[in-house]
Amino acid sequence: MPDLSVDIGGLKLKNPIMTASGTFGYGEEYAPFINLNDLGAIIVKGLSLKPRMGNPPPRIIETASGMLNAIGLQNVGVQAFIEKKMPYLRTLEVPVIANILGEDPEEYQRIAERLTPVPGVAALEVNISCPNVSKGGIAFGANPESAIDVVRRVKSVTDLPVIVKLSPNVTDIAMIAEAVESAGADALSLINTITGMSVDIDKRIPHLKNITGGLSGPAIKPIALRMVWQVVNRVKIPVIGVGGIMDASDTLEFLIVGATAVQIGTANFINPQSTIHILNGLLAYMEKRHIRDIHELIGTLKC
Amino acid sequence: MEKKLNLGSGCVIENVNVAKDHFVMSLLLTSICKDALPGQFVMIRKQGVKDPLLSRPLSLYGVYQTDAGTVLEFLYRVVGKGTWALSRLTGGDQVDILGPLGKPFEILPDRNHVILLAGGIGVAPLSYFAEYLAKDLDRPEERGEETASARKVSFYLGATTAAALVGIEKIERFCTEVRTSTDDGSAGFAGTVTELLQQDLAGLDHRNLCLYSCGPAAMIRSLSQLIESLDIPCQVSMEERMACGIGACLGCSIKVRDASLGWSYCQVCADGPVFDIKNLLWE
Ligand SMILES: Cc1cc2nc3c(=O)[nH]c(=O)nc-3n(C[C@H](O)[C@H](O)[C@H](O)COP(=O)(O)OP(=O)(O)OC[C@H]3O[C@@H](n4cnc5c(N)ncnc54)[C@H](O)[C@@H]3O)c2cc1C
Ligand SMILES: Cc1cc2nc3c(=O)[nH]c(=O)nc-3n(C[C@H](O)[C@H](O)[C@H](O)COP(=O)(O)O)c2cc1C
Ligand code: FES
Repeated sequence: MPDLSVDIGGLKLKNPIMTASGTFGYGEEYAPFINLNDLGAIIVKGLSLKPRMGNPPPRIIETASGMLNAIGLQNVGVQAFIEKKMPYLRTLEVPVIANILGEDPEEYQRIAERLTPVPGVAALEVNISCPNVSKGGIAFGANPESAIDVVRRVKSVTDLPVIVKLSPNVTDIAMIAEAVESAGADALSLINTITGMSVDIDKRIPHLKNITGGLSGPAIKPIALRMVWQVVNRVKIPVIGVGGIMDASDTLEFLIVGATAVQIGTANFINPQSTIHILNGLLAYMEKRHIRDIHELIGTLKC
Repeated sequence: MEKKLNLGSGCVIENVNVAKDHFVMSLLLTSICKDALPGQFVMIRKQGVKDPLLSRPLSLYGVYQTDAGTVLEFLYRVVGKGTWALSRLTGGDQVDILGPLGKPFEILPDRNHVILLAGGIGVAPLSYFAEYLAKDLDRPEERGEETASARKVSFYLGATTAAALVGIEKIERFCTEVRTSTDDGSAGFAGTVTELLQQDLAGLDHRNLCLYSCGPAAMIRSLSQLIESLDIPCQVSMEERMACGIGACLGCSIKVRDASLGWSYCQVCADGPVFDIKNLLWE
């Protein structure tokens, strides 16, 4: 069997297939459908310091080859995560990555502090697409200074690998990537959802109560791929590709462009076994071409 | 706790256009949904098709065991891309099914007069429930018996106009009484179905009643006002747009009472779709 193992900033994964935050609940929801231990890693729903109610409904709407969501980061909060969700996740033999978010840089730091000693948490993924409430609601990930601030604070309180998840809603994602790398990030994941909108023409109201939402699914894949390609050319740390990955060939595109691993998001909704189908497809591709190590594929784009 | 795998495929038996924009589709399944209960739903999509992207939630309208497997029936109204795509399916087409999902209606054994209140396409889950009750599927010992404790099932069906009163034939077969209303007065009581119920409630023994409802949000809301001060248990089946159907995406949240927080959101797919009406909160 080909060697699929990869290293994400010190975190060893047996294969590069991870689940994208917010699309895989806290893992347990998918236990009836797949053997969770077959995954490279599980990334759980974004966690805030206190539980968050999230946005009023409607929160989702399908659009051409994608969907908009405005969940508003509804989550149980870090305390309930540790008490109620971790005991199950710890029984698994798969690295669990906690995705964290905050309203201000202190909140990120405090969540990182809380999660670092928790047995079973293998790494942190820092979602910097959230609005910085202390700076007028502009996303942390939208300017290098606030992104650096968040990453430095998180790094200062944790020895876990820190993956920084970048927002695509920026002018120059490679510049943010470089800034985040300089602040000590161990790896990057990209992209988060792209802000979009959809209108009900009968009622002349937005389809989402929140008016705007984040676009995910196949519609964003070319953009995600382009951004991963731009970023891998500018940073040395590993990059995880996310965005519209539905099958093994989508995964291969990201690997060839230079992603060390991928995250599967919206595809989980369409088929809860997507991750495993993708893993099997990847294996079949490698076996057919006698590729023995996944690294023979990563970053092999010819152009 | 390992939950049961409820992912499988089905083969379309037929897909009949029963009224303008309304279809009844039956599927044959061999692996799943054998024990699907009234109030539960499935996520359904045509196999191998990427557009629409997401599966669509549909309530069970009928579940039958045959020698060939389990037959599922759905009654649905074409309102957009997803339901339109379903309406194009014909015999032999394959669909992917995730289900049965959600909490079913809870049967209250000491309440012998069951009122089912449906608005528009809300008729689908309640018709299956009526059939289930009529066949005493919840109490095998009384199946086929005319006992003194026999349940009375009254079906209240409301729609905008006579042509939209879909599914009456099935309801008539399984209910003791069928009451209809139309907003434009073209059939039955002229007004809303909750107004009709309100009139009738005056003459009924509330201690023996239990209510189940499914329909547009406005109807559920007026029902909640109607029974607010009454001591009648009432379960409602709610709708929200769904992506995953299994409690993972948090897309289908609705507002409910919460003892410690005052209110919170919970998931229609995993915590519902059936809720106690007294737990719902309105924006
Ligand atoms: C648990 C559950 C059970 C359901 N059972 C049935 C059923 O048995 N028969 C049936 O006909 N329909 C049922 N529905 C509603 C059905 O799922 C929607 O009509 C369908 O998803 C619409 O998809 P579409 O692509 O055709 O329409 P879209 O293009 O997505 O939407 C068309 C219009 O319908 C509205 N809409 C879309 N989805 C929903 C929804 N979930 N709830 C309320 N309004 C919606 C949209 O806002 C829009 O105005 C059920 C919904 C849920 C949540
Ligand atoms: C319903 C939903 C909820 C999401 N919640 C989060 C979240 O809590 N934190 C986060 O970093 N990303 C979140 N995302 C973004 C995904 O992790 C992913 O970056 C994005 O959806 C693109 O991948 P996809 O096209 O494969 O879905 C969410 C996406 C969806 C669709
Ligand atoms: S549809 Fe995803 S949580 Fe209910």
